[in-house]
Amino acid sequence: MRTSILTSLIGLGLAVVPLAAQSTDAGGPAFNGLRTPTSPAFVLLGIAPTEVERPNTPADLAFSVLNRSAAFTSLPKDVALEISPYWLVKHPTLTWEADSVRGLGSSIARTMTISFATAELGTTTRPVTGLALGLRAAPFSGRIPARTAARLRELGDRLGIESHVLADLRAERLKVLERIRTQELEAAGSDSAARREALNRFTAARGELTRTVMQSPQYLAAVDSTEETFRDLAVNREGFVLEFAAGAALQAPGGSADSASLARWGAWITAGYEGKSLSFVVVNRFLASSVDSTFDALDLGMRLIYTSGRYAISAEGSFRSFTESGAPSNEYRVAALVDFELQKGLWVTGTFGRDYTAAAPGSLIAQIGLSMNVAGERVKIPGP
Amino acid sequence: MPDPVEKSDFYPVKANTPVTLSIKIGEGQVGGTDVSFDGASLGSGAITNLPVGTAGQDLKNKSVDCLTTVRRQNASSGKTSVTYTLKGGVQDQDFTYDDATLSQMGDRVVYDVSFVFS
Repeated sequence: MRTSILTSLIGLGLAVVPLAAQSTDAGGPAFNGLRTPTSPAFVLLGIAPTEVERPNTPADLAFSVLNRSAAFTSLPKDVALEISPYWLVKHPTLTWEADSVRGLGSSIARTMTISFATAELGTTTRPVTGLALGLRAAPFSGRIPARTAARLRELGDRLGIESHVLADLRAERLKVLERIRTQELEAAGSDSAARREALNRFTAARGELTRTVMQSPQYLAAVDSTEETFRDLAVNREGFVLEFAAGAALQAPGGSADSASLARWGAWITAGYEGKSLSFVVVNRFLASSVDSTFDALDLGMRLIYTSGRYAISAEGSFRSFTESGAPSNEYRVAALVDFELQKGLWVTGTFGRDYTAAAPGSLIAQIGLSMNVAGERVKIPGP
Repeated sequence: MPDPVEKSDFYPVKANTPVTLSIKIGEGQVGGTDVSFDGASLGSGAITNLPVGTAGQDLKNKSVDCLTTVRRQNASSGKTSVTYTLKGGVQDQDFTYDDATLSQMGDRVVYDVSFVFS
């Protein structure tokens, strides 16, 4: 990852903005802000929870719900919960190979998430409980590309070798344990309880042996070697992607269920193609508020990205239409971004375009910066 | 790394008849296995229909030992599961173990499993 420590700037009379600031200013985030959110409920409630509960099993989910709602006697407070129904239950026959290509139904099932959040939005004198529910799914979620599949197969083989190292290291002592087990099983004859006890003793002794051997330098070196080899492995799906998300937020003054009313709702669609070097994405977002509809808006955006070894070019455009009469007029934003690696670890980045409100000061986007990658550097600390 | 999952089970065999072993890593995770029988390595990596024993060999009270390392590569779930399928005995049988959950991508767990032929 490039570390953005902008140290200098190419002049040309352009605005000086560090890369860190660009990430919240005129670069890609304006576009990314339109994209299908992972958790629509959190977006609609306007919260960014630092801790999101993601129960792994139905039992975990039931515990979370009961715990947070005081056994259904009150509205849960300050909850940020996200569940993926498909992954709540076990899938012992689902191999990664079987998941590399998905049909429509399996894609929806495996990507569907439900988010739920509550937050206190009022004041101490006028408490208002906000409650939001969101849903997200991808009918098309791409596929694992052939080169990634090959790497995953290599990883499987490598894990087999690791297991072989472990087996070799414990082989001699395991033979002794197996000899004892065989003697005990023969002594137990057809007494199934005695045979099971003998097997349990063997399992416990073998487990202790395995745990000991797993601490050996040889085994740890094998694990480190695997991790070093596959450190760069990222399983990114490629191909056509289509995502939907929707959600609604309620407000309940005083935390009373009877007073709850719809406050805000929204819907998102993201469609695109993710390729090795070329990708594009189109997003459509609608946000509406029943409290203040002045800024109910429909956003439409598109981004095209081309990446190569030493450079990346992207262009984006966003169009915003306010739907209420008397609302501000339509707005649009266009920008082009260029990243070029001058030499290893030294990148020049440029962003050019116009922001939504062209008449406003600072709406011209024109930034060039340098960034250096120091993440991979190692500084030796002199010994005593 | 979490403690290994330790399991042993009996698998009834027919007299003097070899069996085959297949291993499936579930939950969309990636893994590899080393299989040994009677103190000798039979194979490692992906295991499909691996012969255990030879025709005429009495397998009773011998065991096949499997060490399966599972690494989390599924961003959607940290569950792990390994299914060992033995065929050729009194009846074909699946043994599924799913005791470990991995919290982070790249985490790993070892399934340490023996089947004793009875």
